Amino acid sequence: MFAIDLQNIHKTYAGSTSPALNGVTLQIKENCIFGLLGPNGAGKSTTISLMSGLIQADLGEVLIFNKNIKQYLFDIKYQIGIVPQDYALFPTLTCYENLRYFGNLYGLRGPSLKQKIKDYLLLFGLEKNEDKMISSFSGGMKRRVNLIAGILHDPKLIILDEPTVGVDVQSRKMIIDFLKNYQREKKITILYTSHHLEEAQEFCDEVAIIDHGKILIEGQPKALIEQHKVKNLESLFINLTGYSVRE
Amino acid sequence: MLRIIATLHKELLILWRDKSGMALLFVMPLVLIILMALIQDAPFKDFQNIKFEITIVDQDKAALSKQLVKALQKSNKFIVEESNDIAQSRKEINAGKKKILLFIPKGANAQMEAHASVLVKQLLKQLGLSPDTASKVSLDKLHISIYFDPTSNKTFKNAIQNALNQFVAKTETEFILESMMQELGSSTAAKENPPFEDINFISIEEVPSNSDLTQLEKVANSVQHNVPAWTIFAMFFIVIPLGGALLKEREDGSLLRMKLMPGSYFQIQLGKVLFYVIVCVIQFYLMMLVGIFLMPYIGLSSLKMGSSPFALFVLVVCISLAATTYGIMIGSVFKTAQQSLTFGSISVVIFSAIGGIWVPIFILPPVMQKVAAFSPLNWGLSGVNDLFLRNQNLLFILPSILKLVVFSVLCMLISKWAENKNARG
Repeated sequence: MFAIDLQNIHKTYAGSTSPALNGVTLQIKENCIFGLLGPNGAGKSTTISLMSGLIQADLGEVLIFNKNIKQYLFDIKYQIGIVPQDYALFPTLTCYENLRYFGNLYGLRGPSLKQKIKDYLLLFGLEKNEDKMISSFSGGMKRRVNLIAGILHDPKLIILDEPTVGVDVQSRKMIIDFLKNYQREKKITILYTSHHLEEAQEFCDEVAIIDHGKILIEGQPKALIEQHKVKNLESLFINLTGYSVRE
Repeated sequence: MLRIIATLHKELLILWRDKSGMALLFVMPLVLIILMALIQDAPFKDFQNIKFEITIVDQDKAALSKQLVKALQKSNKFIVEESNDIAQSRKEINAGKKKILLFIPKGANAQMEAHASVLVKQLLKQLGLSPDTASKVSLDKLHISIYFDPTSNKTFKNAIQNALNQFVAKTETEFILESMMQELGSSTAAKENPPFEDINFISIEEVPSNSDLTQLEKVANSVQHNVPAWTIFAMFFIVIPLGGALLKEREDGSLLRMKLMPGSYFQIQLGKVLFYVIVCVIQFYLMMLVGIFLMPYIGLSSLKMGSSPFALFVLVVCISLAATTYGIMIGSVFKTAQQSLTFGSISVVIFSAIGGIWVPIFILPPVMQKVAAFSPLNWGLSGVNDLFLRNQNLLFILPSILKLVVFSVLCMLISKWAENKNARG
């Protein structure tokens, strides 16, 4: 069974002449880390928005764990954890208050939620900062809290939109190491987007490169590099998407 | 339910830590109601309670002017100051040092007596009580001049002129009666003891339309108008923190996260609406307490709140709901905090201006009175006035409540439409 199954997806935003997605077909297996890579405006965010039920496709079907997202959005939302690119936290609430609120929105409460938050804060080295306002946190600390907020409800599928953008090397390593271990332990699926191609090459079991609303290539990073006889994923990316700067 | 309670708690923490937001919600209305009640206290007072300073330049120094001065002093409406220098007095009027100047020219008394005498003779001739000696005589009109401070408004001038005309008419009538008695050869005793003491035997007195009002001694004074009016204005100013918070949530991505979470986003929005409705209700009752207990300490009357506490509570909840949903609509429709702040504050000021918050509706011109019907602040204030001043009940204010509820539903529908539009990109 696929965790995500996109079938011939077309999407054009109102007022736009060119499609954001133009016949995207993509299947992501369960229990793997999948990287969706592409330049700015390639269609990554639109794909994520479709998978999370935020927008609907003009044409085509989105299946999450074999369920059509249009029909089963309510159930599917409980199985997905989304970590947006923005910090998406309340700056004047403390770290603990933010996580408790998001936990409550997932339907979690009481001592079990409290313990879960404490465990995650310990795991991410934030235990001493739980009562500090988010506004006083560094970018790396916010990223870690952002990640915890997205996985509090133990989702089967985590969608990470550039989870390491704007953080220092240490925080980035901590996040990536955590995600690798977490995926292995819980046997979940991770869909990850990033501009860090080196990170993606190391982190992902499989990747797809998307541009102009179309999937250009997909497969295991190592196999793709060998197949296209390039030095690394970044070279392959440049070969496929070109050097022109995107808007 | 957990999502609603969690959102209520989250909003409470955020607002509690937002000192400027708290000041806007609780200090601003406090300052507004005190200031506006003080500023508008004098214009709201009945003319009966106000004494106008009037300067009289009497060049005649005869019975007419003396009688007029006496009548003005007796009326308790005027503080009379006499002067001999018309030029100086006019200078003072032009400089704004004096407000009203009355000029009685030389010979006014003689002219009035002559006029009364001719009038009486003609009357008696027509009644056949006098020999046919009196012929038709044309007399010049007697002109008593009045000068106003050039900054005086038309309403003030009209009110003063009407009051003075009354005194002049009364004095003129007394002259005519006296002349008639002389013509009929009344005795000195009759002159000294006229058959009637007061020639004004018809008087119009206001009778309250609702007997309960008399008991409660309610009047549309400055406190009764300004306390609820500016409180409602401040309640609608919740659009600033609320609209701003929504835009902030959209900008920092937390709105997106909340929408992506399991369950309905409506529950989260409901929690937000509930919280701000509670804040507005607290805001209203706190300001009413200020009206009741603080106003008398600054020389104003205490606020009277009618006798339908339940109807008032329902109305206040509906006003709060309208204010909150309007804030949510603004936060949803506009894309930047700048746009939402500008539109939010200006629209509330416009709604308040046309809705009778600044000045009561009955003072506005007829066109503006019709326009007022489109202001949600007016619906709220009308309902409050119905309860406070007319001592009405829930049934009576139902139209106001319905308008506020329909407005709230419309705002929520527009918000939903805007959110969907934003999500579609």
